Amino acid sequence: MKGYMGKLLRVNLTTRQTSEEELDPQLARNYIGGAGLGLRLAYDEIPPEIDPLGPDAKLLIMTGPVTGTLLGTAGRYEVIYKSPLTGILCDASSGGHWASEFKQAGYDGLILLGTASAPVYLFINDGETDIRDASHLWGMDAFKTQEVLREEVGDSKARVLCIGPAGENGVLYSCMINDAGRAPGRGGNGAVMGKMNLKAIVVRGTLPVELADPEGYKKVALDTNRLNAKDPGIADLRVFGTSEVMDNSWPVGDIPVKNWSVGSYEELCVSLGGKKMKNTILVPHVACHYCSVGCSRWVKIEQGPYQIDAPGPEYETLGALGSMCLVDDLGAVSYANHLCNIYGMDTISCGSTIAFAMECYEKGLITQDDTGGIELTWGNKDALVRVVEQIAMGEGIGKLLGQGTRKVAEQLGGGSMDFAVQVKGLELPMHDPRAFFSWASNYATSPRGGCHLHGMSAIYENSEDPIPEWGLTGYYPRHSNSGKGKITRLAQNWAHILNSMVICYFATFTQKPSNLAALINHATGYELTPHDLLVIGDRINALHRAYNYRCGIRREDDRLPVRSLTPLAEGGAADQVPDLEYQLQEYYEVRRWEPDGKPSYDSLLELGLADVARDLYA
Amino acid sequence: MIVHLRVFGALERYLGGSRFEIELPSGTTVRELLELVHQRWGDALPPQFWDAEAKRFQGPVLMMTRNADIKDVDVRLSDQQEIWLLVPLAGGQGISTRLVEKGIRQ
Repeated sequence: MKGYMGKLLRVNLTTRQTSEEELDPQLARNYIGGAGLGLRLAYDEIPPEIDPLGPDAKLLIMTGPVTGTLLGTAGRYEVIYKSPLTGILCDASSGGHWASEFKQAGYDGLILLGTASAPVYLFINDGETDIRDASHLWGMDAFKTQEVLREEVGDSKARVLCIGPAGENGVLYSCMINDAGRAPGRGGNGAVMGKMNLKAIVVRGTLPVELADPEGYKKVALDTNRLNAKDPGIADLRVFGTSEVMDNSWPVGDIPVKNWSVGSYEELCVSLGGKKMKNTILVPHVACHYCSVGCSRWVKIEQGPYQIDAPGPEYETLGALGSMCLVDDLGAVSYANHLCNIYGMDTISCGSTIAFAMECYEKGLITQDDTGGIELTWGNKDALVRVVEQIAMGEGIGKLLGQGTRKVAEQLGGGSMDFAVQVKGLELPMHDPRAFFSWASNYATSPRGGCHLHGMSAIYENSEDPIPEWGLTGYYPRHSNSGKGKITRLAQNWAHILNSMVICYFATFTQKPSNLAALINHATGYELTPHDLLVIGDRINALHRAYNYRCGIRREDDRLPVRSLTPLAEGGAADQVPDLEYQLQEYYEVRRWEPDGKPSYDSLLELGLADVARDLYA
Repeated sequence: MIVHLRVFGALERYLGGSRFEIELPSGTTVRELLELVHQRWGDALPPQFWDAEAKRFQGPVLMMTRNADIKDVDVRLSDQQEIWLLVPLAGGQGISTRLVEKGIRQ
């Protein structure tokens, strides 16, 4: 199987047994790899009724057919699991280099199940797997754990994926951390790993990834890297990182401020922006695997209360821990980001939950008695830092806030669900559906809950003929609803393909479906067309939706919070509210979903999902 | 009259600054402002952002007055009006690749 190692590794932590399984070539062809393949395996292996933190939980960590090659960003992995935060199937992706090392150790994917009787870590080294004691690592932060384990296995080239204290303490939005501060942030995979008593997975691999057409692949991959390096739309990502969005997107009203209640705040956004970072705390940094974009940041703060020498915050973090909480101190936000990294927590959900708590505090739903004396007021940067620590450790108010906005709102009541800005339990990313209307149907239907990485739909708005190869031509102004359901479907399918190849969005802004097909084909020997990719995207989406339907998700769950549909008073999105029902009607039509929210029987058959059709229509 | 042109993000690099004060005859339209942009910066702007033939911004570039998108290029500008040019979200699907195919860039 060219492009693949042809094997999956299964580790039962209860019995301490490991086994290798052949990768089914037809399954690989139908789902490409990564998210698609992992979701298929999860559909077959993880019953929808299980407790995500119970003994039947599983974690699947997957690579794709281009992983480990010289294509920029092809060092990413996908983790698939039933989310303890949302209660539905989640797939999350992380950059860096870990996946490349893992694949070269001989595997396309890792299936983890069971619970170790005491903390353990895995060492996977060129086809050999060891389950080792990790008692001495339990409670250790994620950065120190990486350092200690590299020393312990005696190989500085080993890569480490681990959890921090937040995962051990069951924070519902805790996450794995790899390659310093990289993370498959969303949905609580850290808590699942913590429940398994699995502290870390250390990998070292030297096996070659064999490709179907090495020369053809090399040319296409290097052309892609070169194009990305020279693209004017991407160039600023290298200079300013994703934090450039803070400088450039406030005029359109895309940046959430004060828990999504303020439409524009230039000074605040600029004080957290990429220019400020570059001119004050940014130091030289390392990009992901072969990446010619290089958006990652490293910051150094040598004075004051927030001293760090660590990975810097990216845009989503600056929004969630910064503008959402009205904290305008870049040092404090960088420090809070660092805490999330070392404790292993999703910065989007963490910052959003704190912003939500600040609003609850303002409204009297949370008091100083609840916070143990912390004044959880807007802009209180010291409170922000203290609460991040308490969440990770499961202490004080952190015990409540570690459950995410939906569960906190359910407990607090008082109308707080209206400003708990989440979809299906997942806090929204830092892009406002009132600024770009397609976010509305995109967030409402995203397969893992409120998410921008399962469809970056807004990049197709205000752009002529966005994806002609998939039939998306014309022009779609950001403040219109027509066509946005169609855009959402195609944006989601595009994301499914990227997440199944397992490459980064930023490496593909210059690309079309035929470019992605060429990369896959040269790697695997397949002869996929752009239309084939469209169908595979539909298949992955239908499968994910079918699983979620079996978890109880229905049309009424495809919604937005009240706050997101309340007009803003100022800024570039003032008085603008998307018509979600209109968009959903269009979306349901192009997705061929039934009125109750399940994929139609015929569409499942056409996508080769007869078994799924039987499950839904038995 | 004076129009204040404010430029954000990647566009700053090509226009050579972030703020410009432009003196124009009263009654100048957005279309006429774009003609001036063409004369002054048309050669510097990359084809991903600027359609030199049509003399207009394209792709991910958004043209706004303060807090509102400009939808009609025949609308008249007013004295002291601010015009914002920005690329709100990075990228633009496959624009670079399409330009390569057309031989416009390598």
